[in-house]
Amino acid sequence: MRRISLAQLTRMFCWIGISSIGGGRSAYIYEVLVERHAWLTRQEFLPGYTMSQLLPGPTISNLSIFLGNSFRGIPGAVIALLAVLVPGSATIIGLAALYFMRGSSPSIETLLEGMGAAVVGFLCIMVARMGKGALRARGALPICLLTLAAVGPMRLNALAAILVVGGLSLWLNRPGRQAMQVPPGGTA
Amino acid sequence: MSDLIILARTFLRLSFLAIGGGIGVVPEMHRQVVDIHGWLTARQFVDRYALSQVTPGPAMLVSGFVGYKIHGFIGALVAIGAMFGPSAILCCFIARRWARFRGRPWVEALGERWLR
Repeated sequence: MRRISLAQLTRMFCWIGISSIGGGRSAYIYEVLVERHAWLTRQEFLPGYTMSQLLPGPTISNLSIFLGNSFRGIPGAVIALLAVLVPGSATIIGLAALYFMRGSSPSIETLLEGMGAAVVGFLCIMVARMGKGALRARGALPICLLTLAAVGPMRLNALAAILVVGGLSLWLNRPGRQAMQVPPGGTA
Repeated sequence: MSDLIILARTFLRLSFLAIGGGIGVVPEMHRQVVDIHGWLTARQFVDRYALSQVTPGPAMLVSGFVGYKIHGFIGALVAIGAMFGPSAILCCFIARRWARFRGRPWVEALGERWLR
């Protein structure tokens, strides 16, 4: 892992925060830090990425904390998190203030309408991308449909759904079954 | 004051539901913000979520829009703070104790699964 100064860290994560528009930000961070700038190796990146998916909270903020901490300890973690969040927060609050000051005008409404449609398309792409990876797990499709029914039409509590369906999915994919699928010559 | 507490509690709860990424809590956020509290109409929620997608930073910053609607600038800060703060502290705590998890088989297995 390279030695990175706090100033470099701030600049890099500010840039990540500003340029990460749309989804797939974790992949973007991987591309920038590991492939383009070689700040750390894939092996150093992976565990933090895993944990930031597993832990509650948005992945990008968790990942920034992990990376900031591994470069510069607690100050690094705080700076990485703030650098990723502050530009976006300022934009959102600024837009909200503008919206409330001016009230809604027909032109803003039309603009938002177009954007809403674009984002629905964008979310479909994200779902397709996530589905390609996730639906390979054991019992993934029934689990996916079960969750859809519970949270969608049945309007059940999302926390309950996550606990029940997540537990079921973990049980179906418990390590005992995976271990038997190690290919010949693979390191188990 | 009480509206700030309800706001903080709502987004705190959403934050801890966001396992595996923020996109998973969008339906629950919709339920809370539109159906339960009636802070925004369904239409307004979609519009603001769209805006937060095309502005810099994580889409979960949409909480700032909701907060601003309820209690102005302070409301926005409270909502964003609740969404990102406590989970960040937990994450930092785990990151500091990282050495104890490193090399555990389940961590390695999960990592390989997610980032091929």
